[in-house]
Amino acid sequence: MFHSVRQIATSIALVITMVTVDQVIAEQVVRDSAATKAGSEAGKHNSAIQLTPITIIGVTPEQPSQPNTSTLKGRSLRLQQGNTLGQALNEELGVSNASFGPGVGIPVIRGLTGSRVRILQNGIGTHDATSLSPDHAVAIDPLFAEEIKVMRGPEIVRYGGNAIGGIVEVNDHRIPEKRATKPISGSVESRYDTNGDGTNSAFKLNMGKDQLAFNLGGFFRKRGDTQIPGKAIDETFVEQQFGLTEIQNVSGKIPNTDSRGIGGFAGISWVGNNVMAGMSISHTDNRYGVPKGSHRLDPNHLNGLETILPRLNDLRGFEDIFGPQALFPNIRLNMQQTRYDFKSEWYEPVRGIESISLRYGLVDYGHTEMEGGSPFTKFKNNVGEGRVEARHNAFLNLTGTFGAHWINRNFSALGVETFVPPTKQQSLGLYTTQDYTWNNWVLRGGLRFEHARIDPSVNELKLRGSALPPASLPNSLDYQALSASSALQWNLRTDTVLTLTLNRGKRPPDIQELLALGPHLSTRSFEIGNVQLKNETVSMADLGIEWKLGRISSRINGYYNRTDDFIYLRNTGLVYEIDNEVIRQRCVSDSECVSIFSYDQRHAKFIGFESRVDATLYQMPQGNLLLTLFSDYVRGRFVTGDRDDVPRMPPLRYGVELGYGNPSWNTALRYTRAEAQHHPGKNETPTDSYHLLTATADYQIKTSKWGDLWLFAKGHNLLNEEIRNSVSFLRNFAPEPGRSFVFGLRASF
Amino acid sequence: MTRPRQELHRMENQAFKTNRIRFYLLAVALILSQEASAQHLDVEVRGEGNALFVGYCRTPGVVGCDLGELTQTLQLPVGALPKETSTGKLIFLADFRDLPGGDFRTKNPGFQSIQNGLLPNELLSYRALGALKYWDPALSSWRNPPHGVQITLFGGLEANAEVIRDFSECAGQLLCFSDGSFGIDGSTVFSADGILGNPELVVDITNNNGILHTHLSFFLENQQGEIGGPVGAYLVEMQLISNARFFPSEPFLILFNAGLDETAFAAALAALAGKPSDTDPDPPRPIIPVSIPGDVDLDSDVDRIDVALILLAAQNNEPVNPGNAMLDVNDDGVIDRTDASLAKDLCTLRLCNIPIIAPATVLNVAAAYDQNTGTLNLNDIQVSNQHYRAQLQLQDENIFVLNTVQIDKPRYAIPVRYDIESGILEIPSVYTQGKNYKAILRNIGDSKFQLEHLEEIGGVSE
Repeated sequence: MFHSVRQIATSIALVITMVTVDQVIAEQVVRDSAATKAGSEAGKHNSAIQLTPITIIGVTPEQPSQPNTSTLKGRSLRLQQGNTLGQALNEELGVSNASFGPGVGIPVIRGLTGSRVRILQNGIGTHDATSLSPDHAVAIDPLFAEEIKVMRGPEIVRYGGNAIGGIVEVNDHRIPEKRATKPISGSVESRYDTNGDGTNSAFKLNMGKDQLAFNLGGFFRKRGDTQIPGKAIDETFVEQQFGLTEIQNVSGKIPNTDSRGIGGFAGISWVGNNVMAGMSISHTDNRYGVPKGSHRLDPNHLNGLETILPRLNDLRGFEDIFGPQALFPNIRLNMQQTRYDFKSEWYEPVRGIESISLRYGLVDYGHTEMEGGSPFTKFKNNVGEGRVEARHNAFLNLTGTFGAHWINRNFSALGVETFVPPTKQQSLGLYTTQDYTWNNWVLRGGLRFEHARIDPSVNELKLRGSALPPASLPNSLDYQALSASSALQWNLRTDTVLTLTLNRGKRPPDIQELLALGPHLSTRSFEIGNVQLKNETVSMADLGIEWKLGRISSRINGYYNRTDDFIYLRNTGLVYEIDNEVIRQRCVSDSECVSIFSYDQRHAKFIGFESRVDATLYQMPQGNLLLTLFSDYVRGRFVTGDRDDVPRMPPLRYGVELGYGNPSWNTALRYTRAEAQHHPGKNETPTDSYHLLTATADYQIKTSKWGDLWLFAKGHNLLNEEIRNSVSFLRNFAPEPGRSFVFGLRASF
Repeated sequence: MTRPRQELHRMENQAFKTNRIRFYLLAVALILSQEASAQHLDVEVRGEGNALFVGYCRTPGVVGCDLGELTQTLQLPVGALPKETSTGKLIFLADFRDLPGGDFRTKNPGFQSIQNGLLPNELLSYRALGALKYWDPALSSWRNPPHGVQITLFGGLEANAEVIRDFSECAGQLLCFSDGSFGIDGSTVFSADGILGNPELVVDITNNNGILHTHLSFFLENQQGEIGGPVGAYLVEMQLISNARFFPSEPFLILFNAGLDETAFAAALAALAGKPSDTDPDPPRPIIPVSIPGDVDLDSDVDRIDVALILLAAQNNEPVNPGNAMLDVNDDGVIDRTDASLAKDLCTLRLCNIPIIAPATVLNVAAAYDQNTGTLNLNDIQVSNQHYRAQLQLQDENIFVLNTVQIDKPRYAIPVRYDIESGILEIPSVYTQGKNYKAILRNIGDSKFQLEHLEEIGGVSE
């Protein structure tokens, strides 16, 4: 706690320093302008028109536009917003949603997720527990998002090793970046989902006067159990994969998938002439359940109690220990996150330096896993992450950045399912990116050196209740990684861009990959860490072309990703009997045992593409008829050993969207076909193909001076298909939601 | 009445009380049994001094202790238990069809120890003996099994001597077995030719109260590992060993039913055990310590099974008698729902059925000291690359005399180490009276060792 307070104080001091610098500059500007004014006064009588000098500061985008980058914002974002980030991005090319029941939705980029995809909130990581386990939700509520940027492929140079698979950056502008144009403005949004009786409401207020700007926001989200077309559990595959035979299955809904979230933020900024500095405080509380049966090996096994209870005629007064909730308890996760974010920008401090920026975030994350209302495991993640970056434009054709990026992390898990010890993690990265423009060629390059240290707080790990001798741990583990990226962009013509991107980056192993030891019930495994894992090294070539021809525009990407020393879980062939807490070679009943996996490394390759063609079919006075064709695919295989499939890859998707509308109203019908996934990976089960039909309609009402009103509706999974998501760990326990209709309105003023 | 006589009287009352409880609760178990065709009795283990004993399970109220049902099924007198006539070895019964795993695999019999039946954190292993025997129903006789048929038993590997916990020897893995990976033979094969594979594997380790309840995995299969085998009965033999006792248990037999009906199975048993009247009606049992109020099944906690057993007794209007007095938790002379409510209030476990997280202690050590007898058992002493087990006896205050020593195989992850040159015997952790100590002894000649250093050590933090 003291550490956090000190970090906050340091950040505030830094921000104040930058503000002070701006004041000095501002005074200088005032003096300069006074001098200018004096000069002007002198010439006043000689000039018919007087112009006040103004300074225009150009802001270069942080990342130049690239074919493998897309930004979701505005109307598209509002229509796609869902309960989870993964759900909001599911229609993006190359992105899938790793659900663990509807409460969890983690974006999967080109088949990679967890420790390989960084999820950022305003430039700083979410620092939740998603990399540890697939049942941990992302600590971002997409309702606040103003834009979501997806970068596919390695983005290590700027964001570190955990961006080896890509980046999802959610920007909600909680720290004001510009002065308020009106004393008060904002928006209110509310939506209702027929599936699960879900309501989502959010508001945002932007206030300010002169150089001070304030932002305030809040949201509330609540939904019941998710409705589905058939049975929740695919009994055949659950028996095949986990040996469970006596399944308590439910039709029509997935029990224990209700969720509730509430949160808010407050941000304040001082926006000077050359400098802005601001901070925000936010808190999110998210409570959700995971589908029944997913955490218990055999829900019918009650240590013999199951044989006594049928003999009892009257259980009144004992429902708390013999009732359904006590016997077959729900697993619930209560997640809280408090963030303190700091941001400062200093524009043109000296000639040749376009800007210097500081970002710092302190994240206090925790979640408690509850069984039948009683806590059984508590995860804590306290992280400070910062970045200082200078952007230069010293040369005519060369622009770029120099930056430092650091992370301090304290992780702990206490309770029953503590398969990772308390650990400290520190990393420091120094990087540069440079863009060189020559005629219609753009060459981009980047280099990053990263040092990471992982320091477990215990010397040895002991498995509770087991005769297994304590496993010794090293004092600390150090990793150095040098990553590089280059991209060559050729603007063939004004409407055609060809881009070749080459990336070579390294990811140091994550905490759980190094130090796990114990049963992990949500994935039905027993994990053994490996402290001699090397950096995972990705080499990727990505060729993209974008062209526009009259009413047709198109974008196609093809990529080849060779990952050396890909970290994966290797099945040891042994099993761990949960009740007896013993390791065996074989187990009588699969339902009472989990397989033992150890973290290992093998080379893997991923080949895939994303493509999209947009065409304006007809232009009419009432609106335009638009057609979009899209498709994406990725195939992941290990290239050593038995060359089996990388598990949980998304299937081939393709589809068509027909839209009709104008700036006031829009309608669209979207059909997606996903093929069966016949390459589910070892010990995984395949998934069937499915058809997904969605429809959207929205209408914008201008209400003169008071603001705008936007009405929207969306129908999802209109064919009410049973969809088993191949990237989901729980696909055999929980299908994707059935048919749903969302109605909403958004008022902005 | 003198104090010792009072104590004796109290113990007798306690013994009487617990015997009656057993019969009462066995009757409950009779009602509870859902697996009429799959009777089994768990192996109950207890230690006395330096020896290990096995017997029929007598932990009331626990599945696997349904003695009443078993004896009824086998048409034995109440309380009668099967023994092999020729050797007096106890026979435990199991059925390959009893669990959902399939017709040729079973987890039974299990192994149990009651509260204080064994030392805290005592490591129990089995040692396979003899050869597999087969009851041929067609010939109604015991003989060798058909060629290639075997029973494979998978024991625990976690305390195996080949476990390596040093990641530098495991290619970085926090845990591995001898070859730097997980390739280890964790099976024991009972065949007509004797014992193949690993003859000794772990059963389990007791908790902080000396309690243990675990099951192993038995498979009927052929030499290629294909599940299945001829209908009949199969007989294997084993004994139990402990890291805290010098003497193993007496060998005992496990009789598996592989598809026989009850009558045929009873015939196979009768051929071994003789007439029912020959069976032992009630083997001696140790005094069970006074239980926790509400702990009616004597497993050292109050859980939902205790509450359910009281509710069942209340539903059946059972009168209070010395044998079931534990069910009358509030001691008002009546077993009713109030007693169950009181037991529920006394239940402090998560969901009332999952043990609380006990603090970890130093486990799996090779040395134990019995303060009552002054015996120091060193079950694994490493001298250079050779391993021994030995027993020392306390003679004077700080002097131990070497009683026995024998060459042995490495057994434990943290062995006692003896340096021949210095004569120093270093015991990294010796367990006694609920605590662990680090001890150093010096060989002073004439088979005597002097205690030079004794230091209490804490538990391993989780």
